[in-house]
Amino acid sequence: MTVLSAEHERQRAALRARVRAAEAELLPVYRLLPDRGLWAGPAGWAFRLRIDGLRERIDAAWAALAAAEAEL
Amino acid sequence: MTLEVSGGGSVAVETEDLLGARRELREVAQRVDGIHGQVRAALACTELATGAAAQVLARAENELADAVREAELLACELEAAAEAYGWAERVVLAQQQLLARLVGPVPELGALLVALGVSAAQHSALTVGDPQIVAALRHLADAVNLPGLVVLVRALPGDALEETAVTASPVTASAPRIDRAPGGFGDLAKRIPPAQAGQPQLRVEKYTLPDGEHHWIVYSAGTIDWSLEPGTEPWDDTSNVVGVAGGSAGSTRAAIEALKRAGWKSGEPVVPVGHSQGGIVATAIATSGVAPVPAVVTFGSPTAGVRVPRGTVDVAVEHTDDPVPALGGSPRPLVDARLLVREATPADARGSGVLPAHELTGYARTAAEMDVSSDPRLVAARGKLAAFTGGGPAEVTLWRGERLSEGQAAGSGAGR
Repeated sequence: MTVLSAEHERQRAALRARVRAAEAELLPVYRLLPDRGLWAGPAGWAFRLRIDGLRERIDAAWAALAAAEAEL
Repeated sequence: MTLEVSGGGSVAVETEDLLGARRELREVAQRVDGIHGQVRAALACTELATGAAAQVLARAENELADAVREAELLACELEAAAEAYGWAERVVLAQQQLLARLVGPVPELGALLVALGVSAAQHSALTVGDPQIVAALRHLADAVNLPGLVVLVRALPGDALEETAVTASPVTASAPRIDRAPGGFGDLAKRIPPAQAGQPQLRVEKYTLPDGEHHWIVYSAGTIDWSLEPGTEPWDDTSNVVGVAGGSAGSTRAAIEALKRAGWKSGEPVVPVGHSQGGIVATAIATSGVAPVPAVVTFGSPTAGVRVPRGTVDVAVEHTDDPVPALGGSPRPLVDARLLVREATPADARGSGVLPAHELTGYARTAAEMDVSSDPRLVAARGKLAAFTGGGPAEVTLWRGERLSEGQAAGSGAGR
């Protein structure tokens, strides 16, 4: 019983490490996002909204990964 | 760098910034997709996780999948938006040209005067590089019947716009100089002879390929003499007006004569390159049918209204604040396949003359920017140039054209 629990704990730790690695890999992606102020005018405004939307999705994914790591 | 490249392919307008943003978004999509794969693999081990952990991991997986889709979609939409913008621009140009043909040059002349007045009031001086003046000049050029104007002016007393016979002589009397092949557009611009009185107006390069075939590049200077009455200098205003009107300009005939005297044989391909009037010469060689012309490259030339033969890569570089290209009118928007590269003159490369945005030094800077551009059409054009020279070396000769008086022409047998 004790052996089984230790193995389970080791696997959970490995999973937590994988989640943490995914979080770490996500951070540099922010720097790759195009400059949201690239264009002026209506096209620039629409472009900014889309880039902001993409950034929010990455924020949400990062927050979910952090929450998952805490739960593990 | 804000190069704008249009024509010559499916995407009509595309900036270097746009290309960069599209590249970044594709990189984002690729990276996030990799992370998404890791999280999906982690989710396969949910028996290890508590219920809450599995739930948030699933949410992360969904958000990452959406982010990948969003980044890929945005990258595609940037390309589609650019294409649509290009077509809209072409349709507007076509409408403006049609209107100009219908109502004649009077409204365009009025618009030019208004633009001049507004610019003078704004800047407390006349600024011919003002975008509104450049646009008004282009519309006026569309509306003017230049060949008819040439006929009218020639009917006036005096010799204004009267063409003469020309000749071309080598400036380098000894054996041709050996030079490396041009590495790109920057080298092409730098090799154009400067427009200076009494100096060579032409540079001719001969390439011998491994199969023994000869290829040629001819570089032509810009206007040297601004008088309308022809003297001895063929790179004058008579050649400008006659050339833009589609006539046989003295400078063009001198360039062809120089090629022949340099050893060019009928059927051997030529790439003509020119700045300002040199671009008129280059385009005229391409349209004359005198030689196969796989590519023509012009810098700041009033040649927008000229259509080169199908199969010729036509690269036209124009500064948006240079009024000279506008004098050639608008490109024929719905049929043209020319590769038009537009940029405002780089601030630190503006000349000090009457037309600072028109000077060759500024165009050489823009050409160097074209050499580092990743626009696929510019990459393809650079590849075509490299294949044309075969990597060099070039045998270089410099040439000077001269107009001949009627007596000299009769003696030499040279024609107009």
